Amino acid sequence: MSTFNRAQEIENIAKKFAWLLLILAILFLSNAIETLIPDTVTPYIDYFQIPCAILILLISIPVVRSSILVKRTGSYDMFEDGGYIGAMFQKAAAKAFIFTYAITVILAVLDNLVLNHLTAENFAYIVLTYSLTAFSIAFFILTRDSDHNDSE
Amino acid sequence: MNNELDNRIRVYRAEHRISQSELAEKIGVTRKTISTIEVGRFIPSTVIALKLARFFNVPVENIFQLKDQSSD
Repeated sequence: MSTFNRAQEIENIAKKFAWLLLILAILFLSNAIETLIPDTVTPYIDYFQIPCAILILLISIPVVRSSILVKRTGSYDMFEDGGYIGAMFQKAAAKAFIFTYAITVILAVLDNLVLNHLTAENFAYIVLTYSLTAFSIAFFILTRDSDHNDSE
Repeated sequence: MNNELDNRIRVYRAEHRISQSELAEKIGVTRKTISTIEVGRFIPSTVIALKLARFFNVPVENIFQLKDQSSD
């Protein structure tokens, strides 16, 4: 039986968390689209949102379970051990912040072209969509091809 | 790939006949952390560097060296 590896568990939580945020971003995007399309088409968006919500639930349950296990064995700080995934998580968050900030500034400059046509609700959905997408994509790119297995 | 820092983790691992997974477990990090440090993709924190040095029972500068230093 394999022993509980705290660092490995935290890494798994971080990866699942990134997937959760990506699915959440897709949900926010669908919410934004829902307000822009005719009412006759909106039920189709619901058909798309329901599986997304189920997927979020299915990923969240093991994340919560793992988080409880990790918490029991000490502090629950992904960045505490100074490991690779924690560092990439921070890097992705910084990149997502810069990207969100830049796009929001560009949108603010183009207010007559874009913002005047958006409701506050839609604007919030769009900002959440690109910030969460930026974070998860940055995280996946930063952690891709990072496995250089060498047993001995 | 880091152009400034060289490391000899692979050499010490071979000497100690220990796998990445075993080393990771001993010092409380993930195998991915060890593998990315080994190939120079990730520069470890001081704490991890010291833990590695303590595990291999050598000074930290025997494991990590600046590239211009290692060619001396």
